[in-house]
Amino acid sequence: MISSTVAEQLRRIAGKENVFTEPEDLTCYSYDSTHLSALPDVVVAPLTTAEISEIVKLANAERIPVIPRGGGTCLSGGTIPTDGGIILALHRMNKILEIDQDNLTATVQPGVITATFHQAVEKEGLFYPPDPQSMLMSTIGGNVAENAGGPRGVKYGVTKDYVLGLEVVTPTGGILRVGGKTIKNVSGYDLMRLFAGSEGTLGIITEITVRLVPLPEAKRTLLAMFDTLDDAAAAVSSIIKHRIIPTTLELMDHKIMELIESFKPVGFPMDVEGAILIEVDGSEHDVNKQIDKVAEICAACRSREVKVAKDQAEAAQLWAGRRSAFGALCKSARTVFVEDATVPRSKVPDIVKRIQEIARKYDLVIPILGHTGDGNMHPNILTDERNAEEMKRVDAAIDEMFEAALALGGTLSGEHGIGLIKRKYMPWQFGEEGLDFMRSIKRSVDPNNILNPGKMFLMEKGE
Amino acid sequence: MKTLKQMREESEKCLRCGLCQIVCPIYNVLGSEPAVARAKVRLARELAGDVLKVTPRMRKIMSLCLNCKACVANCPSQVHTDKLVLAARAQIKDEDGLPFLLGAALKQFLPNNSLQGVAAKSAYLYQHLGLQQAVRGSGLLKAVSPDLAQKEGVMPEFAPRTFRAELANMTLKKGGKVKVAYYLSCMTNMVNPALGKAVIEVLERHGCEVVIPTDVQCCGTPQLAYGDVETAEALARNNARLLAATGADYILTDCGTCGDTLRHYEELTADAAGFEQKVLDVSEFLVDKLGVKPGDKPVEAVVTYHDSCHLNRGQGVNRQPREILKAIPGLTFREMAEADRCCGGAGTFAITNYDLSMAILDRKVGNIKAVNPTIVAAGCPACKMQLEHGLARNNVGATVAHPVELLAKTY
Repeated sequence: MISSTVAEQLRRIAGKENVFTEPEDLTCYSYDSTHLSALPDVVVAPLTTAEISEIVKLANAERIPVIPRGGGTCLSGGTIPTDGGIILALHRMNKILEIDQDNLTATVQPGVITATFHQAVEKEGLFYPPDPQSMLMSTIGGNVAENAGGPRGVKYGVTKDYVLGLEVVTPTGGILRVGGKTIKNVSGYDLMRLFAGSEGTLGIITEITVRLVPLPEAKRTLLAMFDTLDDAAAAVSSIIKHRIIPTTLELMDHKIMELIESFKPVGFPMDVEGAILIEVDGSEHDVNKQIDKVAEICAACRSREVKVAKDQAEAAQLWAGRRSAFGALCKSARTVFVEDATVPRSKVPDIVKRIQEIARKYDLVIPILGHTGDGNMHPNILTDERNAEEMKRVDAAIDEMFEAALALGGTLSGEHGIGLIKRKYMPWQFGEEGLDFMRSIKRSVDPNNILNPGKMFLMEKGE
Repeated sequence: MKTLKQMREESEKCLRCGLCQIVCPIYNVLGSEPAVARAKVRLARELAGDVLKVTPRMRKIMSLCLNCKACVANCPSQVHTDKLVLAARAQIKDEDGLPFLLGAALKQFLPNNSLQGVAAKSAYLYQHLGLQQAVRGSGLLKAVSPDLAQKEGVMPEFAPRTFRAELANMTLKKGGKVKVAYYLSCMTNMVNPALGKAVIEVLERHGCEVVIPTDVQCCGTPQLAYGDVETAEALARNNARLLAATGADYILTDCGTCGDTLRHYEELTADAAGFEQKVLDVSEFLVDKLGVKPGDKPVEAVVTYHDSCHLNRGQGVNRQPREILKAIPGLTFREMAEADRCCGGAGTFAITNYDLSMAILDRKVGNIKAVNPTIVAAGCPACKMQLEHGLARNNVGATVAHPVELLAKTY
């Protein structure tokens, strides 16, 4: 517990109506979208960078952890206050400061909801591509901290590919600016990339400048159906091999389509083992050419049928189905683990096979879907956390999935981050040498281990 | 009604995805986690599990819910946050009681039909004998509390005579192809007797025999909203008996909120067997059971429609009121954006949380302004009151009417 003098000082900094210590409030900030939870000691909702700086300085003096939090939609446990401390709720810092038409950039505060930002820039004929599935409730600050991805990653990359400038409060309370509005910027260490995906362990992001691109003129959607999931996965790899980069390229297995159809029917086929849903965007001419080529490649990969959406309404219908996948999963099970192991794109068929084997081996229901165009798989384990015996099998299955992804030259996370959930696998990917390097960065900028301690990795070797 | 402890399982269904954040009008304004459904579900779970206790803070957080059910409709796991919040409020009321005046309002005033008559009359006199102008002009309200001055502005325009008083002089037609019982709502009674007359006229024009048990009391919604389940159950028992005794084929309501509660009477009393199928909103009945037949007189107006939460998500009635409007000759129908978004009224919420309610209302008024209507139609008198306040405070010259009132103008 924090002392009453600390609470008093926090009230002085942020205003007493923005500091919360009652158990009800602490409970509301004890969780994110994972099944984990822990109580903070206090919740503070600051309005300015200067306030945050003061709060962090106070936290250093008192050795209290500080955990920044946006929409609380983290899928890795990254905002769980495992060591108590201060939850820094950033919802009051929610202004779009500028949309710069001349430079095609925008500058925003961290608490802006991603979808709200999309709407604002699209109104100006511009486009901010990162589209995490949580974008309707996640914040841009959270997206940068977690380096969020999304279905459009295959063509447009992830959040870090759009960040041009940041204002950051350092773990000791300093205020730092890196980057700006320039597209090219090669001065010094690339701190932007260091902060993007740092999961709140190296700084609190207080202002973000992102790069925008012109809103594509046209887009088209295609659904290709396959008798076997292997063929569908092979088609994914083949499209990439043929040097077509769709906007989104989503693989769905039979189980997930069945769940979607029983939840909100959109007309996904019930008699195939796999399907891929593809969107291409660009100029009218390019889009038509690309969609024909994709259809051709799918046919060559033994697709049973290829359905090209004839208009926007039909396309919207198909995408609504894909988007309702999460709802369908939630409805079908008490507990859902949404994993995000990622492999090089040529290895998609291999990882699909491995996931199926693992599901059989541990007798688990694991529908597969994923932003497979970028190799980002979302095997979803349907289970019930009250069943202790099954949870053991789930744990073992997850271990084996990540082992498989790494063995195929992949990574632990394509877009969700490490947080608490995948901390234990970090030595597998980085080895002690790699982790030590990260630890020494963390130690040098955050000597008191104040900022989001215990996330990504533990500070001691072998932990 | 189920207690919060009995609903623990429901609270454990939440997967904390946060999708409720997008649709919650209160979260949209406040942005803080306790404002949103996900948090209330978690607090309900901890309250049910005795991890947290009833405290003033718990009461405050649980009061920050409009019961608009938008979160329920958007929830992948279909967690009934609305029911959890009401059950939590019931536990809070059981352990902590109700503030004296509120308790008196819920237990003595609202259920008492003759008191309602007296009160409506006094309020009407207050508003129409220059007293209101005098009080407003004197700055007295502002002197007492700046808040009170605003709250007084949300007060509805009371009618000179209640609908009950009017009914005493009316003769309802006997005989007809369908016998329907028309449930008399407090709002129609005290604030909008013209709606009552319109409903009767329209139903009779459609060949119905309308029976009105005038002894029915308040439907119980305000009591449920404040956790007074006991009083709500007593009201439900009385109302259900009176309505069932009419022997009518259908029980009709003209208030989205009353209708939603009446449909769920079976959870409150054993006397309401079969109510779920029998209770229909008047627009639903006209469109689905009879086929709406408007008269020839045109209604030259541009009309948009606001979905009452309890009518739309509560009862699943959204198509029928629009069909009525579109069937009216001369009327131009224009759909507004976010027609199904809560107006922020929610009974006394507009009074107890004025600023928050107005922030929610202003978004609604913005959507209304964008289609520039002369009339806003709404199927719930409580929404009507709130919308009228919002239009006035934003200087929008549109009026608010029930779709059936507009239909009645065609005869």
